Formats: sequence, structure tokens, C-alpha cells
Amino acid sequence: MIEFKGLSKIFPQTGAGLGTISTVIESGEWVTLLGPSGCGKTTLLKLVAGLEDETSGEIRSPFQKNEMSFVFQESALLPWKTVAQNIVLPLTLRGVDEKVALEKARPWVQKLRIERFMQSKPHELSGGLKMRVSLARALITEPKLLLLDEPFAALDEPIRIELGMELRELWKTLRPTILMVTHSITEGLWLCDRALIFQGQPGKVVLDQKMDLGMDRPLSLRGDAHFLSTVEACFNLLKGES
Amino acid sequence: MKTMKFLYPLIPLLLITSFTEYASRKGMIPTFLLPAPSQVFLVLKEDFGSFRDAFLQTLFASSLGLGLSMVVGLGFALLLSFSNLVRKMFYPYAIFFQTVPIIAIAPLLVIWLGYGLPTVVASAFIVSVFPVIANSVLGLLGTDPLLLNLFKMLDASPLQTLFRLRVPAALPQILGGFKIAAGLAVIGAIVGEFISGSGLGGLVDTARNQQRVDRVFAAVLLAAFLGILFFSFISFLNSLVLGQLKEK
Repeated sequence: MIEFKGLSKIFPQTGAGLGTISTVIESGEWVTLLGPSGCGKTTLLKLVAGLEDETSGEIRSPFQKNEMSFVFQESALLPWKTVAQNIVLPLTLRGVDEKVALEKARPWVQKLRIERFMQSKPHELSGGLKMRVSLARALITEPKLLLLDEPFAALDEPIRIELGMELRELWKTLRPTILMVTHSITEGLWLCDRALIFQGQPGKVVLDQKMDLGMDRPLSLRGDAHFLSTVEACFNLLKGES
Repeated sequence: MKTMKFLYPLIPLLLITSFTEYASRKGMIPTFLLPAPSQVFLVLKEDFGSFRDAFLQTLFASSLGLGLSMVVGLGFALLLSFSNLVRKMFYPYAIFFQTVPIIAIAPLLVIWLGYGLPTVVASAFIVSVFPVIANSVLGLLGTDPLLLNLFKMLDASPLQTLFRLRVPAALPQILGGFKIAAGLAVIGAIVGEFISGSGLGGLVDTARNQQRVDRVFAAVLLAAFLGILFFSFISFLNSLVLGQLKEK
């Protein structure tokens, strides 16, 4: 489990960032971080990833760097490499032979349905495909902690839904701990076990919402009355803020 | 259409040479100031051997100078991009190479390296190395922060980050630096030859002393041709490498 103890990160120039947060993320839990822009959601991910230094407090995490994967808001693919080379990058950087790495990538490539594009360059792909490649790259190391920063932000609604469902299926297989930032309340609540709602600048957690919706999350769940009332409650909470 | 692309620049050239030829033949311009283009080509033809030798000498010296600039400049840029401290310590000296007038230090080069190839190569190197350093440093430090974060997340070593991210990402800028350096290397070599008395530069200097403007023009023409040759070669290299990175 990851424990945040009085953790904060304030950016001196703006005073924004992440206000003090103290909570525990259980292993294998999917936690969605919701809130307005600038409330410190991405900062929290970066703190967990070690890409930022905290202003105060501490993070107790059992995860080593090689056990984490970060999916950025943009696909962050190397434009001079093929899709295949981008996917196996985490392994080739560890000294794994490219052929061996490609074998390891095969199941993820199949699950994410990108076999046909393995020899393409990133600029030949659509936004949705790029995100799939980015996800495959994140999953090839079978991470124990998956950090997702608005991974579907640039995508159309049907593709967002499709990728969300695929990700949920992958999560059921691997059971990594997931911390996901999103601006879509419906999408965030639909996919997660628990949602942390942030408000303010610097942001603080104002609601810690469990989402007991079962393991399977069919699309029809988004029309469920109980689910919709939770979405509405979160929406009303965030409405005053935006 | 591709042929037309090459033909367009020839139009002003044709107009200017035709006018100069006409003006020179009609006595409108004294030939000791501006010789007729036909006279320049005649000189080139008559003394082809010495022009060819001078051209090859300059070609060799410029190539060595440019090669040295590319290797040393890129190596130096890699060092500068590797550490802030190194950059703060040494970058001002790279700027020094840019600001110092080569014509002023060329006599020094002769004192240090003698009248010969080393002086010419050193001169070509000094003039052409700065664009390689400046462009390469710019490219190496301009890597997308998102990709840098990705490499941090992937626990890449500083050397992996340099050679597998920063260098490939900086290739367009690095090759841009090579392109600028290609033209400058020829200029540097010719300045060195002015002093050391060899190659096209030496030929220009001798012809000037003999008031042979037609020979000066012939040598300048060859020098320009050499510059274009270098530039085209680097441009070809550029398109070859950057063809791999299309979307950038």
C-alpha cells in the first residue's frame, strides 16, 4: 500500500499545487483523482513517481521505480521509433534483447489490438491508437503501480469508453494499483474502486468516495440510478469550484 | 516540376552574366574591374591544371576542417549538455571562437603551425565549429520535457537518456549546424590559404597582386562551387537522416 503522510507540494510562484494530504491507497486498488485544473492531481502522480520533490510530509511506498509505469496525458512516443520499438523501450533500456522484448509485448499488443501497426511510425497513428501504444508500453513491464494522467483526454467519447473498458479488463488480469487523474466525472467514477475529489488551490481532498459497483463495469452501468446519483453528487461538489 | 526548381535560380544568373558580357564587350565596364564571363571561363580553361590543383587543395583542407568541426563540435556539445557546471565553465569559450575575427588570428596560426595544410585546416575549423556547437547544444537541451520524464520513469541512465533520447531528438538541429558549418569551412579554408599561400585562397591572393581580376573571378567561382558542393552534400545527409524522423 501507498501511504501519504501530511504530503504537500506547493509551487512558490503561484501558490498552487497540492495541499496537505494524508491517506492510504491499498495495493490493487483503482483510485481516481477528480477535481478542477491546478488542484494538484497531476502533482500527486508526479510525487508518487519521484518526478517532483515534496514540500512537506512523506510518501511511504513499497514500489520501486521499475515496478511503476506512467501513462502521460500525451502519448509521449519517440517519433523516430516504430510502434514496436516504442512499446519495448522500457525493456530494451533494461538491456533486454529487442526480439525477446517483442515476444513479451505480444499479449498486450493483441489485447490492445495494435498488431497491424507495429512497424508504423507514431505520426501515422490516430490519437486513440497512440494512446493504445502508450498503454502497451506501460503494461509490458507488468507494473505493480500504474499512474495514469488523463490518459484519454485527447480522445473522442466512443474511443474513451472503449479504451476505458479495455483498461478495466487488463486491470482485472494484472491487478496493479492504479492512480488515475481525469476530468471526466462519469468516466472516473465508472472505472474506479474509489475516488478522491480535490478542491481549492492548493488542492485538498474534500471527498473520499468508495465505488462499490462490482468487478465488471459494463457500459450500461453508466445509466444506473445509484451510479448517476453519485456522479451528480460529485458534480455538485465540483460545480462551485469551477 | 523538380527540374523547374533547379532552373529558377539560373534565371538571374543568366541575366547577370549576359548583361556583364554585353557591358564588357561594349566597353561599358573596364575589364580590369569586371571581366567578361567568357574571359573568366577562358582563363579557367587555359590554366585548368593549376585551378584544378588549387580546387582540390581547398576541397581537401575544407573537408578536414569541416570534419574536425563536426566531430569536435558535436563532442564538445555533448559534454556541455551533460552538465550545467561544464556548460557554465566552457560555453563562453565556444562563443569566443565565434567572435574572434579569423583574419586577425590567421597570422598567429602560421606562426604556430607553419605555411601549410595545418594552418588552413585550423582556420576552417575555427570558423566553422561554433554553429555546430551552438546548434547541437540548443537541440540537446531542447528535448521535450515529457519525453525526459518518460526516460526518468523508465529509470534510464544519464548516458541512455543522452544517446537514446537527447541525440536523436536533436538531430534536426545538429544537422542544421553542420549545414551552416559546411559553407563556413570553405570560407575559413580560403582565409587560411590567403596567409599560407596555397589552394584557391593562395590563387586569389597571387592573382590580386598581379591585377588579374579574371583569375580572381575564376578562383572565386570555384570557391563558390565548392561551398555549394559542401552544402548540397550536408543537405543530402540531412534529408537522408531526417527522412527517418518525418513527423518531427
